[in-house]
Amino acid sequence: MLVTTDAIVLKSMKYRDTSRIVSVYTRDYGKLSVIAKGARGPRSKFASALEPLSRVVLVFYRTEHRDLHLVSQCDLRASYRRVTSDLDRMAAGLACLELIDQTAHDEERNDDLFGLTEHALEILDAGNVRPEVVLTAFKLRMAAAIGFATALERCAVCGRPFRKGGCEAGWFRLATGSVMCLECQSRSRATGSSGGADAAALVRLSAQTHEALERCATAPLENLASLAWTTAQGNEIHNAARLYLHHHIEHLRPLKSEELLLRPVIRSSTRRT
Amino acid sequence: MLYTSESIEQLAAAFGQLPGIGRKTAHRLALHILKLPREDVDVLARALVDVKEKVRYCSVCANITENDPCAICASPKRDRSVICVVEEPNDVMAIEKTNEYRGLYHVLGGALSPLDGIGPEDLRITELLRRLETQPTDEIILALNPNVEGEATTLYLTRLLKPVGIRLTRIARGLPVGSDLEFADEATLSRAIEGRIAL
Ligand SMILES: [Zn+2]
Ligand SMILES: [Zn+2]
Repeated sequence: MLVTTDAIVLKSMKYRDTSRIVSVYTRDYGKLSVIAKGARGPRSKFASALEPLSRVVLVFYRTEHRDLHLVSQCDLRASYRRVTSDLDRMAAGLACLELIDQTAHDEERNDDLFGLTEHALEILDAGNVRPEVVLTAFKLRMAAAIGFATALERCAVCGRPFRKGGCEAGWFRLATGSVMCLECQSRSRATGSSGGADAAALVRLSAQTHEALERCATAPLENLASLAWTTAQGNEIHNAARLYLHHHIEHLRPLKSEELLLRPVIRSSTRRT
Repeated sequence: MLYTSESIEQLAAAFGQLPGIGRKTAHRLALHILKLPREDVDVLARALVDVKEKVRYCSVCANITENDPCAICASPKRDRSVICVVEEPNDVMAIEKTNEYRGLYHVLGGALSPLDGIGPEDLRITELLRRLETQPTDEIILALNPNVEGEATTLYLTRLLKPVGIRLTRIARGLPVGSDLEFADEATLSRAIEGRIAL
């Protein structure tokens, strides 16, 4: 059956002499593998539409219970040129795709997750929000879209809000994605009501880190332009988000894309200036 | 398809592993080998083993070679102050065919592709840095493929090498010679406009 769907290209592999096998995340059918015959010929109508980080409209022959579907047509809607021309944006964009690649399933429609991915790439491309903020927001919202949303606004025990003169954050509980305020935590520790095993799944959050995470999880992405953090805060935020995802997603591998941001040390003898 | 010979099946399976060869072609090739004179088969078998035994990677540029360092690295006629960074040995051959370039090469062994599990550690990047420590270099040309992986690699190497203070350039991206402007895809055309030069 010939079907049409919005899609984002995750990865693209050469196949035989002229074709490509492309992994796409689609709005209607989840993650799929498609084959584009003749895609590498000099006059291919597909050309750059099959590059990773492309947003396309894909027309393909959908064969149920098949791993590979044949592409009939593929039209480029956005190529996010500013994402692919800056290392930080590229790494963040690829990290989003890597997360989708690892968590999305074949033939599983998730409108929220597709919308989130598309929006995150648009925001990265617009360039007003820092790439590390977009990526953190993507991680927390992806978690929500696949069924384990965080609840960071108020203390999970006493119910007081953290911001605006409420209580102070807190401890992030990986199992529930909720936060306990410092008072409640010390009270529960005194009464021994929080078990030892549970303590391992608690992450201490400073007030700034908590606020940053909360904004990343809930504020509209385009409103995060003012959000920035120091290296120390960044490490804390990165760590909390990483532990949370690993707690809920089985077999999640560390993101290779994030390695692009680790700068290898250049020995001083190489340096000329 | 059922053959009586296990050897033919084995050979066909081995051919089937090669890029661009499907099941039918693999069987056709296996049967063709069967019909060849014994000497021809010996030559072919020897050639296959020789490739594995004699060909190695150049310890300087990582190009494929039978002598280490390779002919390009060893040549006194090459300009040793320029290094052209490419993804694969094929790219060295392609650039050599132009007869335009007289400098040296550095073969990375691929491009950054996080979704395929290829990060900086998986390419010969540390080797490039070590080479720059010992070999006085005036210019590094990044000649990577015009796709997302090549672009990621170019951006990464640019950030890495900028502080070293060596002139850093990249090859231009534009339209293939002999092609028609009107048939060029949007990305190629806009890169070509971006990379326009003054006349
Ligand atoms: Zn509380
Ligand atoms: Zn060499």
